[in-house]
Amino acid sequence: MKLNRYYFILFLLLVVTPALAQERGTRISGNFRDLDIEQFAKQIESQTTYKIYFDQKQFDSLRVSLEVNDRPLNEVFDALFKNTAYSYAIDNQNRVYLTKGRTIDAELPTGLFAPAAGVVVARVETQITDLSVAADAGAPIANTENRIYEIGIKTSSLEGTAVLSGYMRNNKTGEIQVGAAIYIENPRIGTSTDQFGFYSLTLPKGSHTLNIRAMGIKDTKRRIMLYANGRLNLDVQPEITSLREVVISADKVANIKDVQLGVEKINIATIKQVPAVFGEADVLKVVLTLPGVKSVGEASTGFNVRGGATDQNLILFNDATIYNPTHFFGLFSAFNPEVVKNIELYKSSIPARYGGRLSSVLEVNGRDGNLKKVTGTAGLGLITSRLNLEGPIVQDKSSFILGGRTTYSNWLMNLLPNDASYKGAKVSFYDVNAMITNKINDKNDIYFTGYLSNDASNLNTDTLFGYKNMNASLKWKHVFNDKLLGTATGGIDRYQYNNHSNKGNVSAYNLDFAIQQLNLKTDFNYFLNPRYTIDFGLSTIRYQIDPGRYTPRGAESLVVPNIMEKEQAQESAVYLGNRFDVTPALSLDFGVRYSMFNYLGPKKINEYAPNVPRDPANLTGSTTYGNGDLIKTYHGPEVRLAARYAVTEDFSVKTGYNTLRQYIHMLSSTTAISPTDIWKLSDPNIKPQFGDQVSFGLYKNFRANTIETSAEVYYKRLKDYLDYKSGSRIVMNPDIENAVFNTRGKAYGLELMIKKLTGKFNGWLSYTYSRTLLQQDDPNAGELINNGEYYPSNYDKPHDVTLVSNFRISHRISFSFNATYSTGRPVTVPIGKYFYSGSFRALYSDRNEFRVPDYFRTDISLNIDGNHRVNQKTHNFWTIGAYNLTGRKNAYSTYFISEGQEIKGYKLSVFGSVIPFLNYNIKF
Amino acid sequence: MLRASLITIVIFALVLFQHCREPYDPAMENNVVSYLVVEGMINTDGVTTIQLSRTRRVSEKENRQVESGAVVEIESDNNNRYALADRGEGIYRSGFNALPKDRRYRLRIKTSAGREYLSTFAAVKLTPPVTVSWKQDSKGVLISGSSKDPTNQTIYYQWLTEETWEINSPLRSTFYIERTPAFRILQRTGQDRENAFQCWTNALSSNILTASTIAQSDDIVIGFPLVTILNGSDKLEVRYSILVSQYAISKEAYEFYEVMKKNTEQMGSVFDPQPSLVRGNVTSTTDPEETVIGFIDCSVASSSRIFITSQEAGNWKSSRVCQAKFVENDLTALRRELATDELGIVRAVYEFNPITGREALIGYDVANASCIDCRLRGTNVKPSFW
Repeated sequence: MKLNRYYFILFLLLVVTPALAQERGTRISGNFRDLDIEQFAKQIESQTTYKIYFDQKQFDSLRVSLEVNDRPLNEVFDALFKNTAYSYAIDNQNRVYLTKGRTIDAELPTGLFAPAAGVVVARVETQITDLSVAADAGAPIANTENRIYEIGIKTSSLEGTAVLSGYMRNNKTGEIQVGAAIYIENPRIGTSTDQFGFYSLTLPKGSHTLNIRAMGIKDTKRRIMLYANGRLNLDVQPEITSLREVVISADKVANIKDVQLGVEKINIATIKQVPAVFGEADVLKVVLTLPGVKSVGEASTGFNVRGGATDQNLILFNDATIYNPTHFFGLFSAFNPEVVKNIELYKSSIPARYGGRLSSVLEVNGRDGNLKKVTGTAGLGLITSRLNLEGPIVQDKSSFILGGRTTYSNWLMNLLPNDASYKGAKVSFYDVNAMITNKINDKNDIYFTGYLSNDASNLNTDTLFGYKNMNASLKWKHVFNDKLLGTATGGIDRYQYNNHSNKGNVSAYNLDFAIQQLNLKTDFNYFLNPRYTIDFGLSTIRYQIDPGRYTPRGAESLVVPNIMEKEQAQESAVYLGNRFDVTPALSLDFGVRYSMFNYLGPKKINEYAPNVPRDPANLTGSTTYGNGDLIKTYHGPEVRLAARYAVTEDFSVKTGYNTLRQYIHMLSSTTAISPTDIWKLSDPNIKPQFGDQVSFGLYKNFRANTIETSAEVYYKRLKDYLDYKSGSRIVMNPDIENAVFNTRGKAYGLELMIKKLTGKFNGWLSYTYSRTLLQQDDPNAGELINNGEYYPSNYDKPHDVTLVSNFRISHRISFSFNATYSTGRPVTVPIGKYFYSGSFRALYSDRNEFRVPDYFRTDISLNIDGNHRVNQKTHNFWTIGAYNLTGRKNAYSTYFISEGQEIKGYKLSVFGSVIPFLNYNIKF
Repeated sequence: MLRASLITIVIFALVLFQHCREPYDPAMENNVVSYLVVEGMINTDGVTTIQLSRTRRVSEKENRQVESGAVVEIESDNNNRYALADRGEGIYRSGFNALPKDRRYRLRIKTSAGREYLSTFAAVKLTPPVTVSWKQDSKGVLISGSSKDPTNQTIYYQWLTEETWEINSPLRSTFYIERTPAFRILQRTGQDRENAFQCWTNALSSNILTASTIAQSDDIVIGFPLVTILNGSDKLEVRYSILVSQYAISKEAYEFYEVMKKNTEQMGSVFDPQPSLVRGNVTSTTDPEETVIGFIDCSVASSSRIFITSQEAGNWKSSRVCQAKFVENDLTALRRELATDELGIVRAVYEFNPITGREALIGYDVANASCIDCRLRGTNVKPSFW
């Protein structure tokens, strides 16, 4: 190809150029209206002796409208093809060659066919309309590498820059492509598609090659000729043969180029290949393998990010807040892996558009339904079965995706041996997802997400724990122009639990709790120029909490109905975020968020004497507020700063500083998210939590960005985090401020990670050193904990090493192996014993003075795909594996009880042995 | 394939929830803590008994470490003092008091080391009568207490139980063994045989038995489970009795017991709360920071006693096995078999010798000593109420 091009130049120089010296005797006149190239050529050939040669395919989008009067052919073509990709050449045999696309062709005429002075093409009308950009109905769809796509109305001037924007979609499913990198090489300008698959790039006018890289698609490029601002939608091909390769990040250099620190993105393919308990692909368990993320134990999908509590994570499923992301007390996460596209965890630099939680934001992004045809998947596992259906509602315009999972493990519980402690336990849960994507037109899209998860289980006790998440959200996205994009989202999120006990007819009860929030927010992205992007928006949330209802169950029950006063509040925020590339190497991300919290009536508020613990003894009175009365307002700014300096192409340094405010608190007498936890709004007696974090990181890639390494350190402070007084009662306590006190906390750590993204053997290895310490040293606030010294929090686990790996044996078989080690979590243990009330009793140590044995677990799994023929009706695959391969009895907690005259210590493990699993999935 | 998955499922089921609980013994040496522990109830209408002890290390095998030589007094809020006498073993007991009910009382303790402790003042609480009932099901006999306060004032209840039961030796023996200075087998006297047959034993409640009716519309306790006698227990072998003392206690005392109960009796499932420090209402006037464990309340108990015979309990059968085994009449063998006092001789075994035409002693049947002598399990002094 290259060789041919040189021959062509040579041909032009040697043959064509001398021919130009002489004036062609044959001139052209006429009024040509909307002719295609063939018609136009025929007209010329009929008027002159010229013979015109061209490739029909290259010119199929050309229309000629021209009025000429006695002009030489070269002038006509000069005028006609000016600033287009088309060129012509005339040889001495009067043969005219029309070509298109090669830059050399576009340049040659301007150099070689400079119009003679004084010769003017006296034409008024438009000369060329290129249909490939003319259609106003929609932006062109670029789907091949070989064509040149022309953007904008052709102008003679290629000075300055223009904005190119559009959507990227998968040409197979019509699904939008999120997080795909689009860049040109020289000068190096790039961006990535946002959560709607939308991109906007400001480039110098002229011809460019757009390079496109993203997970799950083939690396590709598109050639463009940019004249003016314009739209170009990109259809990209999925990588069909890919056998679940570990890809943790969309862009191979994202870790170097992103300004933000501590951001982890994982796509569902990776999540699915990590062995999980019972073979259920588990979104949240994978999060736990990331550096800086820990949990208190196995039965808790509640997680702790960089020393934060489990309630300090904002968990969003398509913008809906999920309050309890787990099933069956935390053994499974409540996200159906079949409808999830990817997850993003922000543990350090939290974008200004998010707020309300101190530690992290976990975005779980749902997939869009297939826009082209109806497809589905079904899965059979030991514990759950799944069915998912997706497809177009209107082809290429709107689609739906429906997913459901349910368990049928009650029979399993009944199979247990008689002495097993959970024999006869009842387990029941399900979740349902429905998402609809509707493209109204090129500028407007509407998205609907509905989510429901439900649990009803007991642990062989006579109390049944039931809980539910219910979410619905509607999002409208509008493209104002190539630079401004806006979304408006409204939704309702609800979490509730309903526990009931049938124990003893007179004391049978129902215990209910509910939190509900109504959200409304708008977000705008403004692409000021290629180096500066602005995000801004507003949000408001109305919280409504039903803190507890304790009611009799059955006619014989003597339980007095106790219904606690509801509470409500409004949390609002306005934010502005900026991303500024100062130089190609230095980028800044700086934002500010101002949040305000209004605690609203009706409510009775207790008042306490100042400077004494909030105890019933110190109660001085109470005030009753009416409906909607403003009881208390808290407000303040939050800053979000991040900077990145790329020392070289594959080495960068980042730093960041954040402050955050949290106005709602989860109160729990256990360390995991459990079905009796309640959420409490800040009120005059309970202050909001405040946290700030400073972090610093180094990022270096090796071997053509196939190996990524990173090192991050952070230091974090917490203020007014709640801890519990000894033996405090949380559930159904109308004066909950009596049961808690404020602590001060600090957390710091180092996170190291090495990832290999490609190749037969891939995965990641991470090491985390982290500490989380709390302090209660104010005697006026209540009892001093550990004499007012810093004490480790319940989830302080200093050392943590995790390996996630995948080995692709063949295109159909891959093998996964995980290993994780961490320091045991702190516990309070007996340091002595005493005799009281007829038994020996344990005398406990200082809070969290001791630790449970260290945690270690390895898992393996083998993933076998049926085959990869694209056109068969169903695809199926098997997952076989073993969880906790070494059978180590990892302690979840330890406890000590008096059995007769003895104090006995026990450690409790959720999985006491190796757990084999088997999973079958079918795709249709 | 169905077969394969079925097998997997069964393995999974077997392993999943077994061995979830394992003994755990954290190495905790060098923790030398010795806090004062105060237990008891001020009784304004009878004898007040207070027990003083100290906390011990978990690893220590010995039982309680009692605190002797202290001066213990009940003190009223108008400064009257009523002394308790040191009865040894850390037990301090008052005389039979009849104190004014409209005053509040506290305990003052001065240890032999010279440190002084005070409980908070507690008002006198009167207790509504208690009704004790029992029922039998497939697991055994359940004894429960019920009460009702028409004035709705008691709300917080505590119970203490004292069980007494008769035991009879299933095997009677005419022999006893003297091991020192020399191994000898001797004949029991008739009186001794009688003394070893009928005994009584007793047990105090070892669990914290408290209840609250705060969440109910009426101050009624119905069938609060106090004691469960599992099938096979020897408590109902002959005749059984239980004395239930019910106390009205304060909200603070109730909460103290609740925390203690949570810390030491109710733990053991995944969702249990973290343990926390139990203190109480006793503080040191010498060093207010010192940890003292115990709650001293002031309440006048109501009591009730019931009896249950083995016939009433469906001809109760004890699972105690008393089987005799033969040991040949050889001094070495006897010494070896009867080396400890855990075993005793039931009877001598004779065999007719056809040559001599006489019966000759060939050995002894031996059995567990507690099967022969009930005094090893209790006392043969008949309780006054029996």
